[in-house]
Amino acid sequence: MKDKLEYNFAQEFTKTPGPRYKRLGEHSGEEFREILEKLLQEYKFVEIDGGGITTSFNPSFLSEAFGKMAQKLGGVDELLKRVRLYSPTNDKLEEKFRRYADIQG
Amino acid sequence: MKIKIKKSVLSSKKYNINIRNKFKNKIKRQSKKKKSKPIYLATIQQSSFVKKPTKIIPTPAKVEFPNDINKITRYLYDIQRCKNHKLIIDHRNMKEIDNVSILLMTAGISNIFNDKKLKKHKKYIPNKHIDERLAAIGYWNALCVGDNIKDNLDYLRITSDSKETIDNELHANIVNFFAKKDEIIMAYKDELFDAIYEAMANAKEHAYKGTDKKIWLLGSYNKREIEFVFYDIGQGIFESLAENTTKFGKILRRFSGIFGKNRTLERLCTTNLSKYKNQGERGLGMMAFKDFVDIVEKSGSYEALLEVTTSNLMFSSKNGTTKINQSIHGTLIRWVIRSKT
Repeated sequence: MKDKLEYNFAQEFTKTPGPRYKRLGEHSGEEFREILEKLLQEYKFVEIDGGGITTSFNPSFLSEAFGKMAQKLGGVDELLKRVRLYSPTNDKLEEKFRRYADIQG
Repeated sequence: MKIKIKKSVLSSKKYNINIRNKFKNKIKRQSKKKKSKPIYLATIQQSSFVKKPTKIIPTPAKVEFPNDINKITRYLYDIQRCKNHKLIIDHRNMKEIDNVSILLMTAGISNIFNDKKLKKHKKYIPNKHIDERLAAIGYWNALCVGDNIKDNLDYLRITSDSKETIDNELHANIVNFFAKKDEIIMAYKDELFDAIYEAMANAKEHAYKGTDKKIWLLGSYNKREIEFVFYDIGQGIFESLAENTTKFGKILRRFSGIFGKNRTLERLCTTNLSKYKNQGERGLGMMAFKDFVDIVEKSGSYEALLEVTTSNLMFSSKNGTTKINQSIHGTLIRWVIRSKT
């Protein structure tokens, strides 16, 4: 397993994060979770640069992509050990990511 | 000796005039006969080829949402009733109208005619000021042939979408446009994007049964106030909950039965509902509507308001839930940010 991947979200996935499920539209949280799952099989740590987004990382997208991923990995702490989402231009993004990754009911 | 040549009867001028007069008289006689038509006790089924009479429906003179919602409903009902006649919608009477009412009328008429375009007649348009706002808001563009949105106005933007899936960028132009104008929108752009996106996602997922899922979005700006309105003409929040067969749907229906629809709407708009859902991470959508308002209020120099209207109830972040005069179709969500100075 490789050590670390720096993933540019806007370049590699989309500049406009979409809805929760694939059936609701393009670039959904569900679609990104599948990509993230593959990346986590290959890398120990994935650092996602969320800069360059023209809209926002909406709650549905974040909770579907990262909330469910946290459940699969065994909790939000496990997810945070392996994934980071940040933005060089938006200080609030990392906190938002933690908040929605943590919502598991 | 003079020789007279007799002209043909058919080509003579006299003959032509006679024919014309006879024809005129015949028409006159027929029209007189029509006027004195006997009254039958039972109506006679007319052929579908018979020309139907023209109906003129005047727009209400003064409309302000939500106080005059019954005027809008009545107006749309009249149009619906006469939609198979030759119909004239007379706007000359229109004197005062707010943005929400224009949006409700635009969406309502567009829905009645299934997005078919009508013909704009100069004789029946309102005064210049209102006509300009109707044009900017997309009223004429949505309803009439060959009338494009005048996007040179710097205080009003509108957009709509009827696809089955969500257009991730639908709200981007409007939000970015107003963010350039006002520092508070710029500072809390992320939260506003979230609020509008969740409204769009909820509408596409829950509001419509068919594939035509039309949503409308409006933004308006003046120096002291910024307004964003989202509207879907779907089945409304309570009807959508009634069809929800999940555990969450059952809980909310029970809550509604015990505490009433007023409290249910308030609970939906103010509570993180994810703990009630089987899939834990769901139930965040409507919270995002209020998150934006809360965060703007915290800034201190602005007051923010959220209004969610569905059926005949309106939830306001200032006044709680109140009843309005008449039910609306679908769900209307409105965010207003006002400068305190």
